[in-house]
Amino acid sequence: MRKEALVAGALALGLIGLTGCGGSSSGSTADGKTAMTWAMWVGGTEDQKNWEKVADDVSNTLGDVKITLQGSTFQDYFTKMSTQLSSNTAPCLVAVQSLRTAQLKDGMLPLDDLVKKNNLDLSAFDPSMIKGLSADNNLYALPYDVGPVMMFYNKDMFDAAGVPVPKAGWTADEFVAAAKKLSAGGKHAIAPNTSDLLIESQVLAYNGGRVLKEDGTMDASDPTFAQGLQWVSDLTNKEKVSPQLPGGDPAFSANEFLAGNTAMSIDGPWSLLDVKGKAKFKVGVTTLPAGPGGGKTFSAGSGWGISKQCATPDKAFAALKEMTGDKVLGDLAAAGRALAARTAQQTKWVDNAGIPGVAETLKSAEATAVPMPSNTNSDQLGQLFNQYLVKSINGQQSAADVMKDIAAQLPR
Amino acid sequence: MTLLKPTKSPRSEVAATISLGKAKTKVKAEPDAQLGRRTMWGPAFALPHGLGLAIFTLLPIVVSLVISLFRWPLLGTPSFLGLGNYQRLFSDPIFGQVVANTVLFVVLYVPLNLVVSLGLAAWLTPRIKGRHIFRVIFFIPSITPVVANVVVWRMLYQPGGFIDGTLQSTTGVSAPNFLGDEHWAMMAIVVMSVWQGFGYNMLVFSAALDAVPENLTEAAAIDGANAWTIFWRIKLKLISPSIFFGTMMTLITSFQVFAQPFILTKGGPGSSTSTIVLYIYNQGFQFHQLGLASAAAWILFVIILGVTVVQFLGQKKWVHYDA
Repeated sequence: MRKEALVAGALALGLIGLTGCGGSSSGSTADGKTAMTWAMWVGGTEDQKNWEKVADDVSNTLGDVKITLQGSTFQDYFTKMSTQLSSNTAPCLVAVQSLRTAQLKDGMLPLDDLVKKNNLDLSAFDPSMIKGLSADNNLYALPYDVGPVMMFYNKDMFDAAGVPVPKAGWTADEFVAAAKKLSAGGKHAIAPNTSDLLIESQVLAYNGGRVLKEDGTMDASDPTFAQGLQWVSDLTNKEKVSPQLPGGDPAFSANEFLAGNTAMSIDGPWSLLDVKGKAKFKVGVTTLPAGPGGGKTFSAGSGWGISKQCATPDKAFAALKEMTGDKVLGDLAAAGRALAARTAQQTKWVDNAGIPGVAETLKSAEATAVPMPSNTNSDQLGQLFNQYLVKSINGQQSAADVMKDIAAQLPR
Repeated sequence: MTLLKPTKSPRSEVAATISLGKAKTKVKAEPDAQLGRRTMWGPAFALPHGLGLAIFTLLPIVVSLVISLFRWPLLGTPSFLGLGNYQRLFSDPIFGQVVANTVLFVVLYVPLNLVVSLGLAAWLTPRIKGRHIFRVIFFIPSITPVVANVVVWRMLYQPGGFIDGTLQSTTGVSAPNFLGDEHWAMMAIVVMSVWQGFGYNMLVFSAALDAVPENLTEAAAIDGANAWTIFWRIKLKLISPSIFFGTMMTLITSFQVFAQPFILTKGGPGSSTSTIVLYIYNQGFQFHQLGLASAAAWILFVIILGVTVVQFLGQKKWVHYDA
């Protein structure tokens, strides 16, 4: 027994490799239909219903396939999917986030030939997402949603502080001035963020600094990014409009905003309706504050692709085509689940959101949005951000030194 | 663990002799069949467990050792590295810090855990009213999921949380940002872990103290020993096997600390609370380097094995099995 306890660490690793996680790629049901599993992240009961409806609708429309949902939380999804893809137990249909295309691509089928064979018109999709879901000039997934990173704000707090609500295209100076008025009596203007997409967007909007270059390469020692990160850190230490980070908690900023402790939060359209539903105040949206040399924002989104292990790729593609078709994406947009990657369906989402200014903000943000590239080391960078940005934001180390430490740990 | 040794009954010895004799004389008789059944069925009954052990314990151990010699990405083809992963770990300053962090955690946590659990066990004598209720209360943190405990402790620790709030309202001084400051984060994790982990040892020690024969403590009292001397000179010596067991198990599990830093700090600020198992998890399942993760797991195994061997060698000096 003692021996077993001793090797638990080694064991856990070995076991996972051995047993895999179950699940089969495809087969047939009793009534002769092709059975297909669809791996997707699920954010709650409501979400589960949305996705199950998609699976049922598409199964009914096609008639000869039966799609079953395999849900997991977003946090666990990519670990689980990597394991499944490597142990030959991956489902046919696989969800992938644009930021993580490069990490999963080795286990996924390039879709270009299938797109040609089926005459699918890719120009109906948001071009930044077609780019975001591609790697090495191959398309790996068809997008279902898209979204530029934006600024959410608590309209009630702005009104109470007598600060006019921000307009799309506001500057970093206007942001700091408003933030100072909003920070009083234990409340702060905004809480710091360590999540890679959000912090990288904030810096990109401020001074154009980026860790992930346009060609997808990673350079954590980029001096412009360090300057931008220093500005973000100074919001806590110099301007005092932001609280300190209480350790590694990626949801800190969003939670503080929902609790009414902060007036603003950086987030994407994918969580807007969830936030609106949970918040006990009026939610507004605007663009990220633009500084000198900045003014852009990252856009990210997700799509669905086919795993290499899928025995029936043609049928899987037929399902994909339907899942990202006008009807399904229109329904998802109208339900508020996803800002459709098909540009023709986006108005349904905007109408459903019912948030004043959302249309203008989206238009303005989309005009300046660039796709966030994916890199095989993105997860590592994200993890290092969670560990190390605390030091810069809480003022224990300069942003340049923190980025130096991070760069030293990334594989070259 | 003691193995169930089949004790030879006189009857089976007789049977064996008879059958031996029979084998020579080739006389067919009853006991022969009996012996056959014994040799056949023994391994057969052990087979399910043996198979389980082989498939779920031995094989993974061997496989992980093999993996540790490869560059083994979760996706893609592995390539043989020999001792490359170990070399990389030994020359990586971050891994060095991770090992140092783990040792620091063990050095702080194990003595604190033993002192708290032994102290409370000693206090909970049968003379304490409602000792069973106290025992249950003290044991609750051990049986609640670590994740739930950690979430509650985060609320205590964070700026504006319970500790900070109380300090500010009573003294006007704000508490340090326990989890967001690299000088405090490890201490915060140790304190939380002691609270979470002392219950199990306390229960073991408490049961051991109850089993100390009363005639010995009575005799000592008659000889003029006070409560302190009785505890120090008699009770502590008599429960030394339990203390040895507790120390050993606590040492092993504390080397494997994972959930607390994983949820409270993600290993930060910087790498100040990264532990070996957290490093293994990150390398294996975040960065998909199974080879490097397996190598780190084997290094952890060797460390724990070494510490355990030293413990066993040292026990002769202070553990008394003869009551």
